[in-house]
Amino acid sequence: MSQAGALSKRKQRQAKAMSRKIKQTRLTLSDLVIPLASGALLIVLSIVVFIPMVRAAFGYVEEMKEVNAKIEQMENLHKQLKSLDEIQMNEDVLVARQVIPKVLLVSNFVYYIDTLATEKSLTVGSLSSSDSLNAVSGPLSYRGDFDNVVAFLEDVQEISPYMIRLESVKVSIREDTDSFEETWSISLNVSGYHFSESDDKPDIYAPFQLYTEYEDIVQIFKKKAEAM
Amino acid sequence: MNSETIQKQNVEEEQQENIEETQQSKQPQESPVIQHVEEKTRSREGFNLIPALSKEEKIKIKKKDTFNFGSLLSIILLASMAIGIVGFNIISKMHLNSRKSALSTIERKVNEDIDKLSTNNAILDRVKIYEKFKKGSFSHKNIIEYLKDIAAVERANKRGKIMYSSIEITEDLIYKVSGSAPSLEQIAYLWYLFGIDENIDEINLKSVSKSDIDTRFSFEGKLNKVYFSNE
Repeated sequence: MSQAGALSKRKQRQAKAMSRKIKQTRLTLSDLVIPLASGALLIVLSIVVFIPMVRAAFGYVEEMKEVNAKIEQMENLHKQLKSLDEIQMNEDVLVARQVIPKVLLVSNFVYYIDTLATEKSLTVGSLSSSDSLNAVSGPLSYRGDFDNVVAFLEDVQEISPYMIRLESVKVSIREDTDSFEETWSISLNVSGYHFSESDDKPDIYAPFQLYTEYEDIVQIFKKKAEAM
Repeated sequence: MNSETIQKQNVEEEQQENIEETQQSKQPQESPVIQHVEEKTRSREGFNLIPALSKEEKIKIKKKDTFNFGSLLSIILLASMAIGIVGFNIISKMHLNSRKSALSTIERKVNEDIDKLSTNNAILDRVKIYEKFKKGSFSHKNIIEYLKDIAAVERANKRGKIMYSSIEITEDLIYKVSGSAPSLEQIAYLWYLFGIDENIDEINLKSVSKSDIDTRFSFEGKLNKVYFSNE
């Protein structure tokens, strides 16, 4: 009996030990602390640190693309500016400023027109001019024979040193009943252009074009400047 | 900690059992059943007082190990992500700073040639004005001579002398021609000549009048831009 009792006691103890072990191997809250804590930390860090950092890093990448594009633009500009012959350019700018000056005095303009008309043996009918934005303009009228009138029209447009635009050209012809000579009268509106340059420093990032691409127009300016 | 507690308890039980065994050994021989039970609990080297793990216990321990491994992995992942993201951020910023430095160097070089740029722009602006000015410009001399030539055709056909009294030309290549002719027939023929001319887009007879002295006319129309343009 005592042996049976001891055995059962042992078995009870074993059973207790086993149940204790089972309880101890059960998942408890302490086992989940680290995974939960690291998960929470990951979420918090992601929201507060990682996501802003990743956004900032992508911002830097975008900015770098812009900076690279600017570097390329500046290198091209630098190369193109280096290709310009400074002496030639200074001569060309003087010519261009003669043809389209910064300021066109009304007196200079009217004097030129009148001189041209006188050279063509035209007599003045009316002559006036006024200054407006980027142009000096005014109505003119002259009289003379057909050849001189058309020569005047041609010279004013083609070989004048200034940029001149003719508007509302009207020619009227009168035949002398006695001599049968035709007298042509011409009335027109003449505008001479000037260009006021800005004193501000040019923007290096503005689109750039070499003036030498328009060599033909520069040659026209040279021809016009020679007429002065 | 758990395993230590288990071991401690197992040791206590062992001691308890040892005491019982010595007591039992003093007693008369045990029954075969009891002996069999005792043999079962006996290991090759001695008594195995720690009972073998049950299936459930094994599963639970495996789950715990998995969790512990998962925790370690999550910590490693967190650390790797942090290092990766911060590293990427720092490297990007450093690279950006070096490119910005290169940009300021090239800007400095370009600014040394700012006068050249300014002069180039001064010429270019005037060239653009000239191009704009030239666009749509035409020679008034050419037009006047052209209209005179049409009247000369009539004269060449010995139909009589047509006289222009005025020629007006606007910036849109609209012309007004007025004059006189010996007869209405010649005015009609002049109108015909204007009409068939490929370089005259439009012709309208505005007025015609006949008197004892002469016959007067007035035409209005539009000239062909392509033909007369200076471009």
